[in-house]
Amino acid sequence: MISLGLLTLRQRRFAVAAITAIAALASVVIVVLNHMVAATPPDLVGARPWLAYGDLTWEVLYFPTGFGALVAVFVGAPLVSREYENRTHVLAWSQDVRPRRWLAGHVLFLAGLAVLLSVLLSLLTIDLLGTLEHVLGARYPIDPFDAESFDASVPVMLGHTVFGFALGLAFSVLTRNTLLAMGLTLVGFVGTRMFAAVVLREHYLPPIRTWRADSPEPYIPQVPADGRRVDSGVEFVNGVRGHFAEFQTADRLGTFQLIETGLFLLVAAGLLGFAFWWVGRLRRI
Amino acid sequence: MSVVEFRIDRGAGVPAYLQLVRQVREALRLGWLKPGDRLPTVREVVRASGVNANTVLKAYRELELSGLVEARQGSGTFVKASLGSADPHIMAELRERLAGWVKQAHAAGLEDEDVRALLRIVLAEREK
Amino acid sequence: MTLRVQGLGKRYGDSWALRDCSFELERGRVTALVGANGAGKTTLLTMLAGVLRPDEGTVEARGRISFVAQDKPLYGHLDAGGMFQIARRLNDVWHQQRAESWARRFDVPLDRRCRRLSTGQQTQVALAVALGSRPDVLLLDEPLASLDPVVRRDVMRELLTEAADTGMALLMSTHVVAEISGVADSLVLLRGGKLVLSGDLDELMSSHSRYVGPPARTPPAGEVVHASHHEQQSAFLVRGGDRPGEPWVTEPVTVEDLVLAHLTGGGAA
Repeated sequence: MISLGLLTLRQRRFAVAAITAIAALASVVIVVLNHMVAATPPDLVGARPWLAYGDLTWEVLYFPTGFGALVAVFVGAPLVSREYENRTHVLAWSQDVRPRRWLAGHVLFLAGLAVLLSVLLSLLTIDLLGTLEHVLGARYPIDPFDAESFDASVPVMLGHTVFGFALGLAFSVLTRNTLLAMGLTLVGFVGTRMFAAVVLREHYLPPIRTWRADSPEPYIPQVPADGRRVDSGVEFVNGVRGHFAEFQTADRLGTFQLIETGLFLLVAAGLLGFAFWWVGRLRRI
Repeated sequence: MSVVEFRIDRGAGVPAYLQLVRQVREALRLGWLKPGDRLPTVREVVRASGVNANTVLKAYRELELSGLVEARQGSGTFVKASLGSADPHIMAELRERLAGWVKQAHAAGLEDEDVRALLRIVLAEREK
Repeated sequence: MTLRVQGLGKRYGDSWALRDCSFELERGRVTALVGANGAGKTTLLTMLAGVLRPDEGTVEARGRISFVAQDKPLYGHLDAGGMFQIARRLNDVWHQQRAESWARRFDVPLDRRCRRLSTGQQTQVALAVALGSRPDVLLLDEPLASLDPVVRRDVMRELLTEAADTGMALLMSTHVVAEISGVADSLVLLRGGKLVLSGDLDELMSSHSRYVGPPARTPPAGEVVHASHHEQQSAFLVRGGDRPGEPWVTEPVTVEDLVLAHLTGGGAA
């Protein structure tokens, strides 16, 4: 397997060099920004001083996500289709090493590298987020269920990256056309990620539900400040008019992140299984 | 340097191994090969003439069966017997008579082509 | 037996690219695979190489198989040395020296990217990769197509020498029927996805004859493979049958006659 990994390195040195360089560049940007934000004068802490760096800070928080997309589109999607297009699959798969093992070598090496790099980016982003939270102070809390904080987690990032890679590979195997596979992977990856973030995420566990009878007293929000509202509205209970609220609390964040990781890894396993089954259908005599 | 150089006429209606057999017989008849001479190894023939090894082996086996050569373990294939070409006098006489016959044929209006066709037919009939 | 093919078939949609194909390859023997374009040669070779899934039939192989496809695919961004490294990692057996000496023998620079090599040189790299893995069965799809006549001859000689030295079975498809004699021991002939002729070349040659004689509908003997009729004469290429007498003339059959007759197959006409 190590030998096959070295083979992958040799054969795909361009892709390997490119994603490593991009990850390195992104890391530098994150680290520099982190330093700039951390250097905020103490008297400005808690007063949104980081606005001086514009929206860039927020965008940087999406670097790991962007990197995952990059891996999916430029490493996963061309993996097999490029071989078909250059007809090198005939060369690669007619040797003693069977297609499945050949693919395993490539997947382990490339996905391993991608995961390693995305975990690095993820750790740096988590650090940056911590600095930001500190500088922003209690007046401007960051919603833990917002994408930038939810995704700032090593397991989540790992799940997303592996999923993206597997999605690209599956399309690569299915279409045998690099451009098509890249397009489908981009749409599929972004679509899935958005669907998870916007629709799925808040339903990973049944929300906490509260109800309070309406009263002339000033309204006290039922959803905690750091919680995520799922639903709310008017509801009559035993003929009494009141408001209900359904929400997720911040202390569930870790669990949710693990659930999302598990879901993405599960789908990734399915996609990888499909790719391996497909490639392995070639029968060696 | 091998004594004989084989070549295959790929357009001929004769199996390649028989062509090799004929070439060895011819070399024997013409005295290019003498008893005791070593034939090139199979590998040498393959390399030099682009003939399949099995073809060469088959030709050598054929020659061995007809008692013209013998394979000596580990040292190669050697010419055992010479092909007694006909008595030079008789050869010369036959040749003269054939030349006369050809002259006759030409006089009768036959082209070289016809002569060859005739010879082929006669030879073919004798084979039966 | 090094490789046995039984009832092999491949279907694309409703039509069979190859069907009911059975033959054997023996150790150390060279087999020519002939057929018109689209007869199923490449389909057959790709299935034997294990990169195309057959729809029916079995292939039984004793030993390792190597395949050089018609378009000689290589990783264009790698040089020959890089290709050899890849091949070494992808094979249980690898003879670096054998691959290198082949490349050197045919003047292929080892340090130039494959995509910048000439097509002839690419062919040599592909052959070097295949031979370096020391296969028991070597499958070649039109190996000589991109080579000039002198190199063709040299490559054929070297390949035959390799086959003689190592005892590998060689199956090569070719369009150049005239070059088969003396090179191949056996023949496998495909027509329209069917195997129509296979066997030892010498036996095939001796079991076929060409009869030329006066105009006739049927040959004096044997089973017609190909017939051609002219005003003054009929010629038949037949399989089997005793040598007919007057007025028929029996002519020897060349490999080319044999192959072309079976490829065109005018027998039924």
